[in-house]
Amino acid sequence: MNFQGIMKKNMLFHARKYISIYIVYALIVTLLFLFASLLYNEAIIQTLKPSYYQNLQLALGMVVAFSVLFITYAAVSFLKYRGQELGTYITLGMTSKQVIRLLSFEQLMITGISLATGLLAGIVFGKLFYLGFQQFIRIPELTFQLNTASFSITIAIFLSIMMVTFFLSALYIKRLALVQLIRAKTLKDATKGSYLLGFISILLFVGSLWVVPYAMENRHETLLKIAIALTLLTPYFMIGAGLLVMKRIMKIFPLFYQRLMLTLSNVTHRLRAFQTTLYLVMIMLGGSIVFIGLAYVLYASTEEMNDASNPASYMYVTSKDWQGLDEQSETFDFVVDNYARQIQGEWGKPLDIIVVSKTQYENYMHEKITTPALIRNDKELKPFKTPIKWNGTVLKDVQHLSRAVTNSSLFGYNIQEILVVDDPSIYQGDIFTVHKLGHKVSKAEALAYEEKLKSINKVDQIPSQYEPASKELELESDFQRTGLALFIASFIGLLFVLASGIVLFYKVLSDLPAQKEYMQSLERIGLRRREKKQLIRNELRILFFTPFFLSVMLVSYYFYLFFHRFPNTWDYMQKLGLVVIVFFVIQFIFYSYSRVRCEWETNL
Amino acid sequence: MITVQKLTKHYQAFPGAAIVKAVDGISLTIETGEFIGIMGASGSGKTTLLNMLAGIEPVTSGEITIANTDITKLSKDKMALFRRGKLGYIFQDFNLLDSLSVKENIGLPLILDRQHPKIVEQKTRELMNYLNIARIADNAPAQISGGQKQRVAAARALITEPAVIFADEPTGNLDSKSANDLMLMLERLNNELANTIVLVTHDAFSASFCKKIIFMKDGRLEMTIVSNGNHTQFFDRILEVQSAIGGAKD
Repeated sequence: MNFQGIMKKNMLFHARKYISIYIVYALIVTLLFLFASLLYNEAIIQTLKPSYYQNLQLALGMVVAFSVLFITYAAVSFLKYRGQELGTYITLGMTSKQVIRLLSFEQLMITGISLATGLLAGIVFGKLFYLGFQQFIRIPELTFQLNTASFSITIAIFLSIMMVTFFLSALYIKRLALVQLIRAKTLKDATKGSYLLGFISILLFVGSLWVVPYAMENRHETLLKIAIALTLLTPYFMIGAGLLVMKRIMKIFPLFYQRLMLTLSNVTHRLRAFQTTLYLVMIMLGGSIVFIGLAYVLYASTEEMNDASNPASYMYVTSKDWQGLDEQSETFDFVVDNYARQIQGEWGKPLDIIVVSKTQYENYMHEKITTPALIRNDKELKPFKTPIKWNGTVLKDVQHLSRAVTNSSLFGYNIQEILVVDDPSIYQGDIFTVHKLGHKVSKAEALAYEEKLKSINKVDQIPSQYEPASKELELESDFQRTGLALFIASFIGLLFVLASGIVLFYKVLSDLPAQKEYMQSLERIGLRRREKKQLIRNELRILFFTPFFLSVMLVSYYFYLFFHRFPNTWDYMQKLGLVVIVFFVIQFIFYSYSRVRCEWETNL
Repeated sequence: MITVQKLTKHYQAFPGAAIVKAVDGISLTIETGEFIGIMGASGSGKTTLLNMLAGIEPVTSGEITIANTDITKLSKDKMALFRRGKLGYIFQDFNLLDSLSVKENIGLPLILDRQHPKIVEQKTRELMNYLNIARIADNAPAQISGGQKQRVAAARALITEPAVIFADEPTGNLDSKSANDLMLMLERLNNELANTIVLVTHDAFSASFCKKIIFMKDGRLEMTIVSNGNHTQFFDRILEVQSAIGGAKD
């Protein structure tokens, strides 16, 4: 028997424990590979708008950052879990160098196997992945291609991450004293929480929740930033205080307290460790739900939003410098003028605005209105009713309306608000005319019209302000945008969820030695198997579901704030509800797996 | 009363390995109110015997009857319930839960039994007063001394008014003064409350507080000696027997 023999035997002995690490690593390799293959796919490079492609690159960057963070976290947690074993080796005379050699052998094996499995899974599931991607992005020519670049980039990134991880593990081993290594397995994180800090943080949290909508409404940017930061930071202290307060309140009702005494005492006894884990998971889950929730709402509402912001199938603008099509159309004239808006008692900078006469507007929109009227050119958003000044005069009794008058992309997306005044003399200088075709214009027709406009006006490229607005073409672009957003959000969200699962799982894993001891103590006192199981489940429920419910509460609040100006707020909240249900199921799976593992490890 | 019939405990480290007979056909009777010590050299089987009597370790064969119940026939869960209600156990390492206060540690067996909080509070208070640990009721185990910890462990073992109290090397982690205090306390419990106490120890001084000592060797009962009530004489007698059967050194 030699050192190599011991290394091999050790690896085989820990094979079972390495399975979870292996699954995580392999999954990360698969994700990296699939993402890299998208970046090097010819159809995507040729079809996707440059800004969308940059988003894809940015997302890969985020995937890499998360991989670094969580592979490192998983590796160090696993080391802590094996602290006592490593401590024994060192006690027996093994040098740090030999321990590192032992670990490097294990790391090398796990890296090789994970890389191979991950890439294989990527190749096998690639077609399925592209099929899903196609549903989001809708690029007809998109097919799964195997290319050297995606293999190389995946291998390079993963190996770099593993090298960083190994370096950090080695550093961890070298810096830890023997006694710390031996004790790393048992929990020494008994701490006391602070009621005062908790009370202050609850006050700040509640206050911030109240301030956020106020600051949004009144456009206090600094106040808004501070309030949002406080709503995100204070839960850290609130979680700790919440558990302490819960224990204190329960003590008033001894019957209830006695039932939960063991769980509550165990959690509050190791408050800091729980607090940090719960907070970290809350933030990760919250971020993930926000990412996916927002992206899903946008994606699921793409057609609806396209309908709302494109009242006509095809529109274009003409002027004395730009000729239109020879097609029958409904029209109105407008001029570009400027206006100023009063915010918090102060007048803002003058901005461009489209001005239309009352007669022209009423003829075009087939509705009577009282003027002056400020039309928000969007059916979706309720208007801000702040005072406005036009031509140096403050307009009185302004009617604020939400109407989809033109397609949103018309006139280079510049028709966001329309001022309607009862004054025909506005039509001086540069006058523009909006044309709305009465019939439905298909994608092919829209492209043909585009060519026609170029030829009539004798240009190769249509100037942005005269770009026609086709609802069909806009829908295709909208789907690419929201689909890509949903895809990236799902991807990043999945990583967040995975990361939070890893954090919780390793918390459970590193607590196991202490948990075993604790269970043995209780068994000697006379705790039955069922009661021990219940105890473990209670603790795991707190660990897995407290951050989940806290993050859902916070996300729902912000989601409502974000969407409450939209007429379909309730619909968006329902969509968020769907995302929350999916997350709950994922969290429940993580919980169940950890519970089974914990019960199995503690011989239950 | 505890009756033990032909009790054995055999271990086999792995299939094919030699069988170790930790307890080898022991039969004995312990009357209600007795204060018995079990002594012997390391590996003589004394802790294994105690653990089997307390239902912590399963038997290979034989019968153990406590309060008219053959505990070897009980399922794991029923044994847990029996242990919780009828037996008290004082461990060498105290076995206190760090996350609970002293008061909660003591009341734990009753709390697990879903007793009404008022009963738990009253019994805990009485025992803490009796054992002079009331002033540390709200302290955490980490905040009290070894002697106090062992008194807390004793209070927890007594709270269910058990038929028997088992103690495994209860003075093993204590200094001589705390050890003396604890043994005096156990003696008082035996005399005043008529508790049956079965104690495993390798310490002759602690053992001298018992009324009867059973000596074990190689998993069998070797000898039994009975105290005449004089600690010093009994202590000397124990030392004699230990040197005769080879259990003086551990």
